Amino acid sequence: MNRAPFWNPVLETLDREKLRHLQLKKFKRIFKWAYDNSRFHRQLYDQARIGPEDIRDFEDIRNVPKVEKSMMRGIQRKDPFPYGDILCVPLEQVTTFRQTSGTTGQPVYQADTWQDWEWWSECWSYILWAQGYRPSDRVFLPFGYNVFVAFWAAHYAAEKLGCEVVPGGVLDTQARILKIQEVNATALMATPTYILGMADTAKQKMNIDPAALGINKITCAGEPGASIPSTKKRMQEAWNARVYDHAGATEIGAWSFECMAQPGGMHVNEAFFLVEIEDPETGDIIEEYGRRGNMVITALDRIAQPCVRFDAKDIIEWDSATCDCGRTFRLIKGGVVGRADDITKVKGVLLAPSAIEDVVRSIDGLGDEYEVVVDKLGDVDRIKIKVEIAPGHEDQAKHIEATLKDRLRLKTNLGYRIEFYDYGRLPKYDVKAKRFKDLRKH
Amino acid sequence: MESMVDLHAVDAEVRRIKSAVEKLNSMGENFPAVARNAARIQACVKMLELNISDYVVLEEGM
Repeated sequence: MNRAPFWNPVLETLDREKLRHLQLKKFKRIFKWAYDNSRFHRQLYDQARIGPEDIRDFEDIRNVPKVEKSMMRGIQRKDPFPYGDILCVPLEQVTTFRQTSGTTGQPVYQADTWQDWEWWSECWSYILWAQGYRPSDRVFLPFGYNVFVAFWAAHYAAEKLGCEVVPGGVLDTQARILKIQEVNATALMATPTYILGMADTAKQKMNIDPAALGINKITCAGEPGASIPSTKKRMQEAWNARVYDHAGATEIGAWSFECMAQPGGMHVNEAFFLVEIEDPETGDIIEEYGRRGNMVITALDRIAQPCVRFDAKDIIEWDSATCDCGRTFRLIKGGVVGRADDITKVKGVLLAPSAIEDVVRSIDGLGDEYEVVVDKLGDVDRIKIKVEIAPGHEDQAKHIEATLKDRLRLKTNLGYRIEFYDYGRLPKYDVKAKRFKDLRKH
Repeated sequence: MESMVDLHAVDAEVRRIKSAVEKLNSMGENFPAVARNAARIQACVKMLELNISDYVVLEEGM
């Protein structure tokens, strides 16, 4: 069994036409479920004059109104408390509460039944198997086990696969590194920021080489870093491990993953999710390769609080490449390349913060931490980057500054002011980093 | 990829387990240890349906 390349050899290699049939059939089922069981969904669809009998093909799906996070915020904290009218099952069937981190506003509550929770870990099982996790792995999970979904379902999925899971919850970073060393962990999961931070702590404060700890695979979440080539390279070199990306969200589930072929993108689990890419200007659905748009996603089997045509604000594009791994699930090129909320105009130029990260992390003499500050002088936008020189590279500051400015200009079409800080002076983040500060909005 | 297992046979077993667990669940009305463990098994059986039975039904309808 351990040599089986796929968690599900049928669905993961299904021919595209059958996969589309399966998605359509499952969409009809979840749409009817939401319509029949959630007052929120029924009102939304009745207002749009669309019902279950109107869904016949993919064109019809495009007429189904999207659900935005703000709509979910508007109905919660009412009966059935605290989820409100979106809930599709009696409250006593809810077994798990989670909430979003609130990065983009008031947190959204998420109800799951035990079946939903099995489904969450099933989605993660596809991911972990594709990334080479097997029963022989000892998986260390250094995250705060709390109301945020984070790696909770990865924990359950790793157990389902037969791995041995070591929960590294309420430990500080140094204690976690010592525990990895003590138990000979083989795999690790965290945000890219924390993966780099752990490596730095091991080297600088503990005189431990993370590359010698025996971790052979790392799964990332929460930030795009594992799909940003320079950040991935830094993590892989620091830990001497393969680093894989995945994408998921509290309201959606774990919907996308990088496989062992590392094709420069992530597979969408199209047996469990329907992903549509929408042109932000026209609202048209983008089917062709190489055109970025906003993701609209449906979780095809989640029942307590369904996710039907959710406007996720993730920016993605389809990749024309087929993957060497043999999966027929489509690839999104470069993973989630940005958030609609994050992309901003500076001096009239559209800027995605992930582009800056790719440049900063591509320069050897710079540390892992950085900050970007955008402000205004009069009517003119200004953009500044704060960086740290890595130990041993202090005498190269001028060369590094020139290289950084050149590469940033090439990548983003903008000029930057650079501020250097002593190594260790910039804030370190344990989970999701907040490195982009737009002071123009305040 | 050709499946190495007889999916119809797997699906038949899934249905058999589903039916048995539903029966167990109904027998546990005043026996929480039966009802709640059966409910957990039902969630696992649902995952087998998503992995196997949905596909088998799709094939039959095509």
